[in-house]
Amino acid sequence: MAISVIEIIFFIYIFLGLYMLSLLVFIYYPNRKRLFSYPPGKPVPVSIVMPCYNEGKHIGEGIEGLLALNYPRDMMEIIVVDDKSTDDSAMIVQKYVDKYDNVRLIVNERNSGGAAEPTNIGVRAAKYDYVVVSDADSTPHKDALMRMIGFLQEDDRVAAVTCSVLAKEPRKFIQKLQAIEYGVISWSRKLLDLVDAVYVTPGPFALYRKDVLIRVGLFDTKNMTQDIEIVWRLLKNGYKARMCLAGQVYSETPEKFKAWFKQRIRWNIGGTQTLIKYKRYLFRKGMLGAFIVPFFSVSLFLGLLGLGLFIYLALRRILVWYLSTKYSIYASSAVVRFSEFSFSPSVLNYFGAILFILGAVFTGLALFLMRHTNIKKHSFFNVVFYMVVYLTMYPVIMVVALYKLSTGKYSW
Amino acid sequence: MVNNKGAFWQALVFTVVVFGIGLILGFFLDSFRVSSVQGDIFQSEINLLDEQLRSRVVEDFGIGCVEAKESVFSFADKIYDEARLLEQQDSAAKFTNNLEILHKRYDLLRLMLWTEALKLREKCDESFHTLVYLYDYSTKEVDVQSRQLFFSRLLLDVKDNHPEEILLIPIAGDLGLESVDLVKERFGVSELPAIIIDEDEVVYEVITLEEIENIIFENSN
Repeated sequence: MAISVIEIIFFIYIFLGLYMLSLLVFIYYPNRKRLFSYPPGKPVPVSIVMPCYNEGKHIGEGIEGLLALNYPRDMMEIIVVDDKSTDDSAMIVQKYVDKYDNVRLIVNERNSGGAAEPTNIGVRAAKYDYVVVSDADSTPHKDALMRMIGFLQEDDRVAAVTCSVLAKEPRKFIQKLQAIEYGVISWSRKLLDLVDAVYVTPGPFALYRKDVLIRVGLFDTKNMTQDIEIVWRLLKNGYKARMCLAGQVYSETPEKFKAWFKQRIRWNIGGTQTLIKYKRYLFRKGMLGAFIVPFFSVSLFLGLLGLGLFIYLALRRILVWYLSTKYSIYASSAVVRFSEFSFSPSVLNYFGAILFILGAVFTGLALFLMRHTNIKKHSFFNVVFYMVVYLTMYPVIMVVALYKLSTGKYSW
Repeated sequence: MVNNKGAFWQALVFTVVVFGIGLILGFFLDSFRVSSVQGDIFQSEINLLDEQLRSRVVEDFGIGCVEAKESVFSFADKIYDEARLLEQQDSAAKFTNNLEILHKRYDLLRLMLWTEALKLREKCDESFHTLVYLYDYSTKEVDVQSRQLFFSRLLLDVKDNHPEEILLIPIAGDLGLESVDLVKERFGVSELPAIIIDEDEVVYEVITLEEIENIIFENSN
């Protein structure tokens, strides 16, 4: 049987998958001994902005984590911006304000429904030139800020620095899967940093230059992932974003499927909003147009196409099986025969298997290298489940996100 | 920072090379499959020649019809298994149409087997039945694929129930073989799949096991 259009599409998938894997390996190998290195930095005054909405459960721990940073107390101010919480968040913060003179509380006049507006309020109110944005439910490693700050000090064009975002005390199964995911993403993001292709400075803990943030217009309050959009805007304006693998922040992860799904929908909506906003920069503006926009576009397109093809082929097969079984039952004939389960692997199957093995090796290598940053070792079963089941959810999430984006039915 | 941008080109060259090697290996894999099936088909051709000679021997030297019938059935079973193997290999082949050509040769072999069986039945007055299953080799239609899957199960049930009385001959009806087209014309086969029972009745629709057995055995009464 000759090759079909669908099989050509699968060959393209395999080619691109192999390309991305080999790209990361080619970046990794010559840099393998200095992935965790960081430029030496000297302490300078830093404002830490923490947006907060109904974070009564975490806000205290969040502030404590910032106060515990290995950083001179007199060079650090903490600004908590409460987005009109309905719980006791503001009261808890007020206790810290009363106790520490470098902790401030600003209460937004209204609930904005997202993190961008309170963050912008905090950035504007910041006293210092370097601004950290931190989530209330995240705890940075005590040396995180000191390890990150040198990136801003060694290059004036660097306007944002992110760090390794890792899962905080994963207890439930879904949290353990996210812990694997976060470890792999952190490592991959560091590899992309080595080619100037960091495309997000995640909310849990990121360092910025205040003047640059204000110059480019602060965080986009209409975008669901303002931490992606701001980086694309910085890159568009000729600035750089860097990643410090040695700096770590531990972030709370959703412990229920529904919350996890909702979070991923939001990430995908925000990513797509950003892609739409910056699509005209394809092949322009350095790595933004040369890699980031094409990478996002191709991922989105192939994800949707792959899911569509999978559903089409699966439905066809199910329908054929259903109808033939219905006929067999009607005819009092055998409903299934052993010979129907024969399988003769094609070159596509071999390619797919090799790609899966290479992906597993890549994941294993990432987790091995990140082992000292993770709280617990990952079980073999969890890693396999992550690769076989967890990752295959991505295209489904993307479809739901696109639907919500097109209908406008989404919120933070 | 070290300039790592060369990694994009290195990865591209590496991927093209690895992918190219994979495609070449895939081509050899397909070729190996063709060789493997070709080996089988040479054996089948020898068997068929043997079968044709056996018919003449039966006729010319007065050898028993029972042995001749056993030989036809044994050959039919063998050729059926080989053809199924061929179909499995065929679905896995991506770079060559050679297996489709082999498929045509198998179909011709099975057509010859059918004609040999007819002669045998005529000359020896043997009481066996032929079920010629004409199917659509390249169909993508869900309904046709469903009926074909059903028919293959049904016909195997009939064969299992009456192994000594049924000669089952599946032939692809859409490969453009002149002789197969003539058969379709002769029996008025208007669509695929179709089952020609004892060169008399043609079945297209879903039918029960009991009904098809009735048709087969009532025809002989």
